[in-house]
Amino acid sequence: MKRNAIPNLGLLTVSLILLNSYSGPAQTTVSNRQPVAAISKPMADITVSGRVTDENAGGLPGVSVVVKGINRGANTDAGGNFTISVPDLNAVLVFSFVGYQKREIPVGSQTQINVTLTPDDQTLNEVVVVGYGTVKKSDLTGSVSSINADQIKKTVNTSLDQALAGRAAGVQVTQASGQPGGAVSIRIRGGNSVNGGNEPLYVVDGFPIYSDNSVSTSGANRGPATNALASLNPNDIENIEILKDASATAIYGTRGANGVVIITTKRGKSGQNTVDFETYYGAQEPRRLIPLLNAREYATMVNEARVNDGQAPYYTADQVAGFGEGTNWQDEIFRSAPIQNYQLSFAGGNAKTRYAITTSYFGQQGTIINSDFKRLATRINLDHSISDRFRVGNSLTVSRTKANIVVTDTDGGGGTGVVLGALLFQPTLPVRNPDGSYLNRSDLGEYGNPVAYAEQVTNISTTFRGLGNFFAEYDILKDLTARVSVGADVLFNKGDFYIPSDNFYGLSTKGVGTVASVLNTTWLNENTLNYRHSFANNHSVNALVGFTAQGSQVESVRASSQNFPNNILGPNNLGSGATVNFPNTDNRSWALVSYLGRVNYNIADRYLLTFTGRADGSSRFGAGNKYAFFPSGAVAWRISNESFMQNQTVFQDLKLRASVGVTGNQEIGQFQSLATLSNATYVLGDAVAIGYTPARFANPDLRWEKTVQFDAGLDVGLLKGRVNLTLDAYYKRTNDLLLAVTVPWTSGFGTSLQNIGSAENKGIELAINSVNTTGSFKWTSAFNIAFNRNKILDLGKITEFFAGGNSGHLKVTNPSLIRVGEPIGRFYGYQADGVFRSPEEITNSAQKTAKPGDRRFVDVDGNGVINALDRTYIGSAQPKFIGGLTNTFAYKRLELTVFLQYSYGNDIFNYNKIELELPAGIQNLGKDLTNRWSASNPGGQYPRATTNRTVEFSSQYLEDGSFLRARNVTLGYQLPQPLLKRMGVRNIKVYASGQNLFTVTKYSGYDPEVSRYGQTNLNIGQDYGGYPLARTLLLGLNLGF
Amino acid sequence: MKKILFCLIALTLGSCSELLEEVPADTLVSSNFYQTQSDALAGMNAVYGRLNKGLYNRNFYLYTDSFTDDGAAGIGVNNPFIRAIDNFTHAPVNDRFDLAWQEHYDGINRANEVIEKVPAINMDTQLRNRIVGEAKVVRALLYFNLVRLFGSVPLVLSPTASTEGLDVEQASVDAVYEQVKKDLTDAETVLPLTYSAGDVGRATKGAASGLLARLYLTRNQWTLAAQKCKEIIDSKTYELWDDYAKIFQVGTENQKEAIFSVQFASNVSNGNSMMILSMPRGKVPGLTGNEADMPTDDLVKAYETGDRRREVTVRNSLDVGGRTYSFTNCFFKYYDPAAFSASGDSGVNYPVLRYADVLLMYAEALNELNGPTTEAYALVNQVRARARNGKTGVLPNLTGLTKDTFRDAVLNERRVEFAFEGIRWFDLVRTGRMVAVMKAHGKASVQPFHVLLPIPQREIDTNRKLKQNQGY
Repeated sequence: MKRNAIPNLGLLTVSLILLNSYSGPAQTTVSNRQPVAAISKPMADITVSGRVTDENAGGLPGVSVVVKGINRGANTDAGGNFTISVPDLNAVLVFSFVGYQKREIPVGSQTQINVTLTPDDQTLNEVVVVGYGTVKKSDLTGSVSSINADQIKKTVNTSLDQALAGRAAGVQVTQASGQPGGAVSIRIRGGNSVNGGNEPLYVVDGFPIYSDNSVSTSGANRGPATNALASLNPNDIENIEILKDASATAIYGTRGANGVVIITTKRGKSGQNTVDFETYYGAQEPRRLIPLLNAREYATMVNEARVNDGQAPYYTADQVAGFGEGTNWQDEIFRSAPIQNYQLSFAGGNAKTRYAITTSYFGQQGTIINSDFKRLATRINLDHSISDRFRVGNSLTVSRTKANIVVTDTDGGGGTGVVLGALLFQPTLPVRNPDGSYLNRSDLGEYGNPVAYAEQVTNISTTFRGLGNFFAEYDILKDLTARVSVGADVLFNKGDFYIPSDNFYGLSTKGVGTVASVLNTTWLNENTLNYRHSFANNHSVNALVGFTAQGSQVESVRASSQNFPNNILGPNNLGSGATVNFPNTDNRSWALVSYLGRVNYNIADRYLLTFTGRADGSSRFGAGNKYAFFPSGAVAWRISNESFMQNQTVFQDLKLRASVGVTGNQEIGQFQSLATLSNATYVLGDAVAIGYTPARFANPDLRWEKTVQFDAGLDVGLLKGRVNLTLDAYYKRTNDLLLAVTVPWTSGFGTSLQNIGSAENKGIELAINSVNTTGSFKWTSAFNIAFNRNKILDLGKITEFFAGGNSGHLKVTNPSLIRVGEPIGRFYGYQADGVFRSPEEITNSAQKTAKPGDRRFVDVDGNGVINALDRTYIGSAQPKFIGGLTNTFAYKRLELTVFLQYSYGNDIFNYNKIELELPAGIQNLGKDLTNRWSASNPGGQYPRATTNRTVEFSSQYLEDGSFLRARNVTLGYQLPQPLLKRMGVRNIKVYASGQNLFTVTKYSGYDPEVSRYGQTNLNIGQDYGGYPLARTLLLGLNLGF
Repeated sequence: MKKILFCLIALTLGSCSELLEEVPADTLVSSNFYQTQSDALAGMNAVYGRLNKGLYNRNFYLYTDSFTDDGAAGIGVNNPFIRAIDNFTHAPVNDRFDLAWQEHYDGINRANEVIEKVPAINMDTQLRNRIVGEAKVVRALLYFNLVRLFGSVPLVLSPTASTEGLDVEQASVDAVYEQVKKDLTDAETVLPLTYSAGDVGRATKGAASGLLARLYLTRNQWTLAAQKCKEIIDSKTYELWDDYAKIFQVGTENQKEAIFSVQFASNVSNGNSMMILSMPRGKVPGLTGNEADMPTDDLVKAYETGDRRREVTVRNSLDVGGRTYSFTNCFFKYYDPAAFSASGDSGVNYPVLRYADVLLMYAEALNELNGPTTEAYALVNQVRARARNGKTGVLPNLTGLTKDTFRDAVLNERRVEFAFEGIRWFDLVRTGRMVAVMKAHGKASVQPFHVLLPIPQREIDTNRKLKQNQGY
């Protein structure tokens, strides 16, 4: 394919150019003639002046007034007045202004022209980008949410996926880590898949990208995954469309089941040559610190634990008395950190060529020491009309990002990350020894100094990405357009990792370094034919057929060595490590070959029909299941256009939609259907011997996960378009789940990826946009809310399985149980019942061997014993509803935006709470633990101090994760036009913005947005030493010329 | 124009199927493996590779020594499932039994792969037979463990190739033993007595014979057991080290006494982590131990005064940099001084079967057949003499015992000789003494049904044909 398609494309392009060469020059001459004519009669100019007003008769400043057909124009002044000279009486003036309908007025004999512009009924005439084309919003039959550049710009986003948070109904965005450039997890209408991927497909300027962080990071780094999408500059975005129902997503076939996010970047517009400089600078800090025991309280607890267990106290009474507050390790690792962004863009063009060129620098330091993220990105988007019928263009972005990562989100014990370390490390110890070197380790626990871990470890991830898509479009007939695009996405990531030998975590290895890189190359060729035709008065058809092919190759290499004589060179000279670890290389490819088609049929703007189909062939599946077909159909009825609706004034728009379709999910990685072998080693003759062992057995029947989705929607426009409402109800059923099916271990394997079982998601989404007041004080609101209910319907032979999410350190096993009839993400454990306060309570309980001060559990089965059978469902990580509310208040040039985001009803499993409520005398605790049970505090609510560290996973560690957060509050001021005019500047806007300004939540951790396991669907809602999200305050300036 | 586009589509169609074929560039698949002699060797390496990861790298200890009056869970044990094993409160849900089951069957599947696929390879016949023989020894060893640990277990003898037929019924205990016997007998005929330096560590004829002897002993087939032991002794391949410590030293561990050992090397992926798990925790500078797998006082007391084996097996102090650091007794059999600061990677092998065992098995079999004969005394006393390590006046030769007291004496000799080598549990069970000994050791919860482990609940849930062992 690679061999054949490219020359063919060349052939196609050549022939397109040849075709064009017959008609092209002639037309060019025609279009060039007019200005020449205008210049030849300069003396005939007529001066026309007038005033442009808005619907309230107020003067409209900055309106563009252009003489149609020639390159001459003017802008209205602060009062809306303009003066322009026109060549002759036949001239036509074009008045245009953002947010208003364009008007064309023939000059005729007038010299004074007063014009009133009427506001655009934006919502209905907006063009919505759907897969492989656009439709008018009023013609949409599917469920699509849009987010525009204005909204995106209002929040500070490191990556474009963050911009989706709270903006669109039914889109759940979880910032898995506060690490700058850290991973984001997104669910559109809930998660369908158990073991397969659940992230949506991103389509950036036509280029489909599945954001699988595991193939875009080298694997050398430790700590939270970095986000592959962070390599794209979110400020380049013009528009984001989120395709949610099957009618909209079926055009992406096997990749459509998790929803599709279509991203369109900014392109040049003819007639306006603009230069924009945008910048912001701000400071970030953690939302809160967690109250912990001070040194004296800690030492008291250590002694108490030992004495309670019949051991000698660790600290003498004098030592205890001598301890004060000690070290608050949180203060040592957290900081106020700057964030900054600079972007310079040039955009504009003429009738034939348009350009948008931006270059930007984004720098974010993390709120934890020695963590940061930097991005340098350039974009060049070009459009050129070779002739009236032949257009070419491109989107191209090149970027380099570099992240310094601190290790967080790890299990406790020997690998304790920086955040958990700061919570648990002894407050009795200083950060540094008297000689200035880092204190190495705790004297009691197994932890290293978290400050040293953050500062001494090299953990750098560098990414270069070039994403380009080039297209040629040719109008074969008036109604028929052919389009060919060729693109490539080349992502290179290098990871450098080094723990020096003088760090606690480098002691046993005497320094360990790892360097790895991954080259991820994806190519794309798309060929489509688009036919738009209107006939028989009021019928119109818009049809699309296409053939596409996409392929990807991921090549990685990894080297590691340890036992370094010194730490001078860090990871940069692995050859100086005396012990060489096994190297690793990978080389994996996949390909998709697809045929697609869509027909939109519109009868009298009242009845709209859409049929979509895509046949996908994927290399990832079994030999017998390479191809699958994904069809969908939708109907919509624009009731408001019916004749019987013409006499009412309540509804400006009323549309009913219904769709059904099938989409797929192929995100299972490579080689899953093959009987692959993996490396094994042994020692023979005192030397390492390499062997190969079966890693899985073949499953030639492996195929797509298929999701059938039904959607019914209602679009309503009320009160002269001031209120727009969209309501959707959907039901998704995913069959043939790509499930890692438990197989008997007697087979030599634990699981086998099979298509077994089914799951459903159903829900309701509502979005309301309203203009609450107009006039000089404008208040608009955008509200959305979504309810999703997930349920596992079938798991094949088994009815339940534990989903992992364990802690090897705390020996918490199986906190999450997946069971038929229940949603994914339910927590399974004991029901906590406080602590025992007296021997009598113990005698009357099911825990006869307990001691006062031990944790008490509910004997669910009432058999008088607490055992595994007493575990029950104790919470759910699935929210009951999520959404956002944006209010924008504008008075003259001052604008205040308050953007709230919320999630309600989800529980968080807080591993940190286990650690902070474990008075074992080896690690620090939460401040609440001063109220632990003891003989002298018999009313204590927390367990007694004991060196026994046994933990049972119970409801004690689940917390309500609901939150309401001011994701963004921005106050902006636009300088007045007269002033700008004097300064010779088009636009100046200054603003102050607060990100995550406040968060209302009962969650006791740093931040309720957590995901220890990043993008996985099985273990959502867990927090274990995660990097908390920052609160940010910033000042910004937009300058336009 | 349209024509061109359609041509393009038509042209690409032709090569599409090629594009969709998955050709793993970095991963071997079974269809292109097992073609050559080196593939056969690599397949066998992977069979062995199962032994020194997890299985015989601590996990075996947990259900063969930790279970007994020799081992106890120390302060480093955080896992409630290990504590349950220690207290005889274990149940079908236990991650260690899950591992026991899983790791054994993984090894069996690897061996099945070799046994089924290597014979079809066009290669040196003698080497081909040898490799299949080696795989049969490992398969026999794993089934021998399984049948003794779990009783009646599924007998899977061919590699898994598809999702079909994965639910296998349990075979009778006799059928499993028959298969073990058959594999070992087959192997005896094709394996060499010794290997050249580069192949040291592979299964030998002696390994097959020794395991057969152990099987006969377990089945109380005394005549057969005695015969096998005599064969091994008469092969003149093995002898005892003068110093017991030499068995557990990296330089000498594969010589003289070793019949079959799980091989470890002091490197990251093949180290013996039993060292770190048993070393003292935070008491000796530079030595990072877990203090998890600990010897009992009972065991320490079982050593007679002057027994060299005690200081090799158990220690409560260590000299570092001219200073002596003391701690509670830790077991030191797998202590590798070279791995001192990287204590997770001890290079000391784990003996599965060594010559002293053959001597003591022979003595036991002879006693069961004819009472304590001179020959039987000589065998036990040979082992005791070595334990004196040149000292006089300690560990006197056994003499004047009845058949019953001789049996007790051999059992005790085996305890101190093979502590932490995975022998004690099976000795207690096969002699019917487990419940009494463990009750006397203070384990009140122990029950007769505890002679077998529970079949993992996870396996019963997955394979509905399995039946749980009685009592669980």
